[in-house]
Amino acid sequence: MAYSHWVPIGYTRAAGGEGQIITPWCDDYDYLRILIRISGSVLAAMPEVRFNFDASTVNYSSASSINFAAPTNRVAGVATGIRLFEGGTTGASGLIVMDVINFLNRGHGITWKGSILSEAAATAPSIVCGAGVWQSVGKVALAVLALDTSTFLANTDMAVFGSDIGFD
Amino acid sequence: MANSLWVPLDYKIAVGTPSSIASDRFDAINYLRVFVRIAGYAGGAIAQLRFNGDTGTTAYSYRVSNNFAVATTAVAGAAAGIKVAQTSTVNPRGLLTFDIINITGRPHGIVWSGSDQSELAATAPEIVIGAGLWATTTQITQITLEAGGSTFIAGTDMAIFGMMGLG
Repeated sequence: MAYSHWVPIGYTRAAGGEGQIITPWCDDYDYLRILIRISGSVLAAMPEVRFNFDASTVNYSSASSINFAAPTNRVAGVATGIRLFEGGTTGASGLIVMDVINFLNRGHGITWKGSILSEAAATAPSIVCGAGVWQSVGKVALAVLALDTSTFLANTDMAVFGSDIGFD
Repeated sequence: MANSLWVPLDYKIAVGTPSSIASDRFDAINYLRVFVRIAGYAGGAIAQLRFNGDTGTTAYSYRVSNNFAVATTAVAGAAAGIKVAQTSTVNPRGLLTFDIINITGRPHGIVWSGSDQSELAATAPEIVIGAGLWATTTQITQITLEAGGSTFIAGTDMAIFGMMGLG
């Protein structure tokens, strides 16, 4: 494990038809950066990021806003993952950049921003901003990108990068 | 080229008062990060990023806001680049950080944030948030920062980093 730079630690790409794509890796880095591109979905759906196969409604909360509208909150009891944005769509989202803090025995603070809902020059993309928590104190060592009600089009992908400060 | 490191691809700094600063050609790399600092402009303007020398109005669209104001949008037919902020100014833009996906055969999603309009402790900077797109599916191998019809003050600079990743 390298301590001095960002390293690519996982990558997955949809062949088409998957309800979720999974990026496994082994080392549990202190800081994670996840880059997501969604080429679209078969039916209108909302994407979520989940960690370590946790699809329960116990550990997640999040708030997300499109184009600076009042954020939509999702909390434990309902949230089954970090909902990247609200409002079901079949459309493409060009790039979502998520940062995750990943120290042992802490909850995980999460922030993200993205260029979503258009990959056509004729339509300006929307801006998504979000904040989230994965309350579990275990370290994230695997990420899942899932749709709530549909399947991904081919070439949806997720790349994960990690870096360590090396103190824990 | 390292697959597992963010590597510096190019760095350019304005000397004199150029109307743009342009990177050299660099290798086609899957993920790009671009750090822009604008020292100021001769006249009020909004700089824009352009890729591979594309000055046309067919491939760019964006949405950008300062301090969460209702965003400015521009689409094909009008957009000739990715405007780095919403507000025209002669003031410095302290740091604008762009993430760009650059995988061959795909449009380029772009997101950025920035600390804008001030480099003085007496004046809080504005927050820039933007989302953009360059719809061309060839990989980016060159980036130009254009002054939006004005000229830059010396010291304006642009650093480009890339990582090949696992994709």
